[in-house]
Amino acid sequence: MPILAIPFTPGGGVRVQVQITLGRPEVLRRRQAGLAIPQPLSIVALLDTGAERTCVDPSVVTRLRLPPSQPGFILAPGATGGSPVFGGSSLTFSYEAGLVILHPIIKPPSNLIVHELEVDELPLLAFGIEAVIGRDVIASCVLVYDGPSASATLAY
Amino acid sequence: MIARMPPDHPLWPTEFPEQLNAMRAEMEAYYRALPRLLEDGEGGRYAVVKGDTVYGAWDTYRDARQRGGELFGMEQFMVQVVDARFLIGYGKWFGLASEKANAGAA
Repeated sequence: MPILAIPFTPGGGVRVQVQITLGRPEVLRRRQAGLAIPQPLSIVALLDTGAERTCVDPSVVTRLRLPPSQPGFILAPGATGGSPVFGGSSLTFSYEAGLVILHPIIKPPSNLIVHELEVDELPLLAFGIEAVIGRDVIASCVLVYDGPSASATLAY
Repeated sequence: MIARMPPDHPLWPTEFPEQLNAMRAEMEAYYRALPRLLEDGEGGRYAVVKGDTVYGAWDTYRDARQRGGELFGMEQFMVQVVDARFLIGYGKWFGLASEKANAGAA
């Protein structure tokens, strides 16, 4: 079971280097249609046990041209930025993507790879991150947050 | 905390968002077909919808996506899980009350 050790600063939270890719079905579809397949996008993501699902910044969606999956509404405590019509929630779209959490050990391959993942679009750049890794991914991991030593481990 | 709003949530919008106009036909077709899909035991499966037609339901999102791709190639279509809660959420947009309001406006 690979274990990723992650030092963090209390203000920054537990951040990891990840790659966002097209989801496997879209890769196959593009191959069959003879379309270009964008290179994976390397970004910084926050591990967030408070997030139900993994979210990416709109810029990630644009750069990878992720295919939309379905619309929905996002709820967050205290969020008042949404339209009153939406009850304070925000309309968002889901997109089909893939995710790789990078591990420094290459042999044996130790990255956490999720070939198919539905991600929500959410503006995140203001927080210095481009993705939030939610419980949809963390559910298959063991995450230990050691506050006094400012380090976390993610086993998968 | 970040969470998706379930379709039966009291705060589900009462007005159809104009940003979704491009998918309105599919969403409405799904809503109209939903009682029949549920009666047929399709709950939890994934429906493929294009225009005003539902093209059946499949066990997984991936299967439904693949079927839609076979049928429509790179054209837009909708895959939606068959979930009774959408009777409440989409009902606010396409249901009887919505129809009465639209008739009143006309």
